[in-house]
Amino acid sequence: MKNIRVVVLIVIMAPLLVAHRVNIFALVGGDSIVCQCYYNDGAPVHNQKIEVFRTSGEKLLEGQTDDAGYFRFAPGVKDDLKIVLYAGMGHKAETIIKASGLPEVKKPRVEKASISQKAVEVVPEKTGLDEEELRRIVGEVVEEKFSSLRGLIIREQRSTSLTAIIGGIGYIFGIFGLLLYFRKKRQS
Amino acid sequence: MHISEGVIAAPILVAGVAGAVAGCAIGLKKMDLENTPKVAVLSSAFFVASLIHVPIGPTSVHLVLNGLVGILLGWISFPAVLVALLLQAVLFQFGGITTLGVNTVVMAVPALACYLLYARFVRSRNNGVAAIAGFLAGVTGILLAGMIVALFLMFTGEQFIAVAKLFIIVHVPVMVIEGILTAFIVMFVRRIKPEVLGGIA
Repeated sequence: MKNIRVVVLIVIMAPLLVAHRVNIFALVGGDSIVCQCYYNDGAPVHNQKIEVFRTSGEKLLEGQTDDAGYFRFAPGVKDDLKIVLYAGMGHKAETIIKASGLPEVKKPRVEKASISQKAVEVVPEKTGLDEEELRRIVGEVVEEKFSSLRGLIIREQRSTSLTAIIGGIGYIFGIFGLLLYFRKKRQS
Repeated sequence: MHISEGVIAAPILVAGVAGAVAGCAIGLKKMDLENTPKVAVLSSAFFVASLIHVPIGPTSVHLVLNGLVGILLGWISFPAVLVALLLQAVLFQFGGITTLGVNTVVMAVPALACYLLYARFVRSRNNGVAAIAGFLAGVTGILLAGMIVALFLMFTGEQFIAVAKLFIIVHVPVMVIEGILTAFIVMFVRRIKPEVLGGIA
């Protein structure tokens, strides 16, 4: 039993330990913001802490990523938001969502947000097919379309390109070459 | 194993910079015209090693090579590692500029330890001794790096024992792979170009 627990722990924690970098990618979709968190080898960052801050530095809300590395929240305010992901073991990533990209805040939502001081649930109240419901359906469809695009952007971002690796080697040789050059010059 | 920016408090970052600067100063003193190309080659090997992920099961691992860098470079590991980490930070956002000092210490101190512990044996006339020393250098490099990361993170409130234990468990396969690879490279260098190791005693 204990062995199984250790194995499970390793499987869960392994990407976290070997990864170099965690990434957070946030997109505004409808009334909510969707964050996708992943290590640079593509593994999702699951069950890790996320905090969202306002421009003033005040913490708006906090939560945890789900199993697929997603975190959704409705900001309920129109402000520049800083979203910070803490992945443990010295790993941290953050991203900023500009106020201009956020939807206009409707009156009731503001009140709700200011009363509870935390995220308004993404799923709105069931009130029949009124504007709210329509908004949600459209949002879901847009989100669906977005997800493939987001996957593409993420794949693009996380690949350590061969060109950059070769470029890096070139830089290293250049740096040491320069060092050699100046030392040789000084010596002669 | 790269510590990201904004995780560690400023005093520790400064201590890391101080450690890296001191190590680099000694390293650069020891670096002469003859061994500069060797340093460049090992620096790029170290740079590339952490970029290439080999998928193993549900996760992926990569080589670190700090043990190998250590036994071949000794104190010069500091400048070699610093340059490689700088480029990893600039080109791939691994680690970061402010954590460059800390990360250099994380990688180069184990390298130096490997040099002090195993360089003598790697030069041994006995092939078996040299191979074992190479293997141990590969293992020790990663093990000590993990210990130092855990030590630094202790100041951020994480439990040293817990982090260190987890790190070791997860890295056992990497340590074994790295140990075998380091042993092979040592044997290869001994046969082809023993003067790189400082000659076989």
